[in-house]
Amino acid sequence: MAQRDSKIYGSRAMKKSILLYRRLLIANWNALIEYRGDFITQIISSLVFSLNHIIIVLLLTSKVPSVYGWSRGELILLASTYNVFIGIFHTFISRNLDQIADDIYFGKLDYVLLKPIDSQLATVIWKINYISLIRVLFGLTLTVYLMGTLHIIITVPMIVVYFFVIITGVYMLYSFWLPFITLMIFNPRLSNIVIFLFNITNVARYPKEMYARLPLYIFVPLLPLALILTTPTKVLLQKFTFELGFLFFAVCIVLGLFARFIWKLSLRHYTSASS
Amino acid sequence: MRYFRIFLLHFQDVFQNRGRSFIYFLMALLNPALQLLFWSGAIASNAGIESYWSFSDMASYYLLLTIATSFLVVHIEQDVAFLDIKEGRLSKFLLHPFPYFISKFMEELPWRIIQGLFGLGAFMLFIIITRISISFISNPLQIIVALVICLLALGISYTLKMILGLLALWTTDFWGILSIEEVIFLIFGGFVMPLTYYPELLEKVSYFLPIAYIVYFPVIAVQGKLTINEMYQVVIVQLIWVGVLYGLYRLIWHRGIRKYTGVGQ
Repeated sequence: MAQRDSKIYGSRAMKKSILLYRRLLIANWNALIEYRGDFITQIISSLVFSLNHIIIVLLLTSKVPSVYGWSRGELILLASTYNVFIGIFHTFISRNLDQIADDIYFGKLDYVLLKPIDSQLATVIWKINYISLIRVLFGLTLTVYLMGTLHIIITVPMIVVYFFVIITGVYMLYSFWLPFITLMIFNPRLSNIVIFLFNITNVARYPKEMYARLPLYIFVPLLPLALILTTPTKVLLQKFTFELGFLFFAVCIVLGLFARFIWKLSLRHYTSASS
Repeated sequence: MRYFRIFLLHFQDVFQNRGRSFIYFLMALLNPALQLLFWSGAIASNAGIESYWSFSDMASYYLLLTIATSFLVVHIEQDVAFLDIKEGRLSKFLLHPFPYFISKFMEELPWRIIQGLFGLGAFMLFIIITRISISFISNPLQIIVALVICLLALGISYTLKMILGLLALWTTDFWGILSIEEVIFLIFGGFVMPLTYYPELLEKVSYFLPIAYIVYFPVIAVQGKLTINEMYQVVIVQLIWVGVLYGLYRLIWHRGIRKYTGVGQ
């Protein structure tokens, strides 16, 4: 009887969560289309950002045929994967973390902590930036085109693994950002840390091999960023190895646990007194 | 004297927020560091690249780029657009008995000085650690002209960013303008790589725009890549840009201020 009740309760809770997220999706969509002028400007800026790194790679490789064992085409494929990845990250994660940074700065985090859901989950569910899906679409279109030029056949298992690795990478990047944002609990004046995190994510745009030349004390902290794009791109290039996969998931688990630990630890020091 | 006092007041504020300044500096450092790492690999694996610039030239370019970005690239446009125009704080400045243009400059200058000093520190640390020999100008006349180039670059940067900020008087969403500006600065400002490496057409377009005169030309002037005559030419072009941009600023200010309602947006 108790088991049945628990199942019913679990099912209701799940239904409630889905309903809540559906409402959030609608609310975010309505907020987006409220000002049509802004909507168009945001589309243009999203397209500009999508093109940005592609242009940079084209410029950088205009004089060199290959770098760190990556050909020009492969580097552009990495750049297009960046668009897919960062599009998903900006759609679901980054704006929420930006908001959390603001909440800490203004002492409003209490409102998030009082919600009847897990406090860490509450850091990422409220805002959905639909515009960033344009970057995902742009990245995917370019990826398919580049796969054709590189004469690589796209298979279903490849697509499944690619998206699985991308989603895991998004979680990895979230786990990388969160401890930095919690620094604001200790020093709320560091409100520009989010802009810094946007910048440091640029590390992921270049191949992992580039960072292997660095001293170990610089390479190790950058490893998660170096892995999040190189790994899915290697899946597409059919260069994905067991060692790379193991390293990728090991880093993801360690970083995820670390982020959770730091978040819980930091909350104990939250005074709600703002800056 | 009153401007100096305004400067000192803002300097205190910026110094109190040195943690924020350091993070901004790290942002200025990151991009050149990544490009340098990229080029170190490119030079190592492609012998032909060496015929353009050597690794020490590249290293000095990107390190000077970090300092120049910290000292010369102004970020006042967000303050102007979001704090002053969108939130209505411009009213306060309109009541001040001195121009908005100078007032904001005194607000921005301490940020540039503190971040520039961080840049200088990082530059010296890099040279001490790596012991790379880096070439600079040593002729006193060239040093003076290079300083003039840097000051004019700051003038162009500041005036251009003020113009961009004032555009918020006509738009409801300023982020679009900011993102487009960021990409244009990256591509045409020499932030990706020296403009001489660019395809010919893009190189010519870059020289035509004011952005290259903010960071690229000051950097190569300090590096000693320009002859004294070329440095004079850069000064003349910069003077023209400062004049044109200031005229444009005045025009936009007088037209835009009529649209300002004083209650924010």
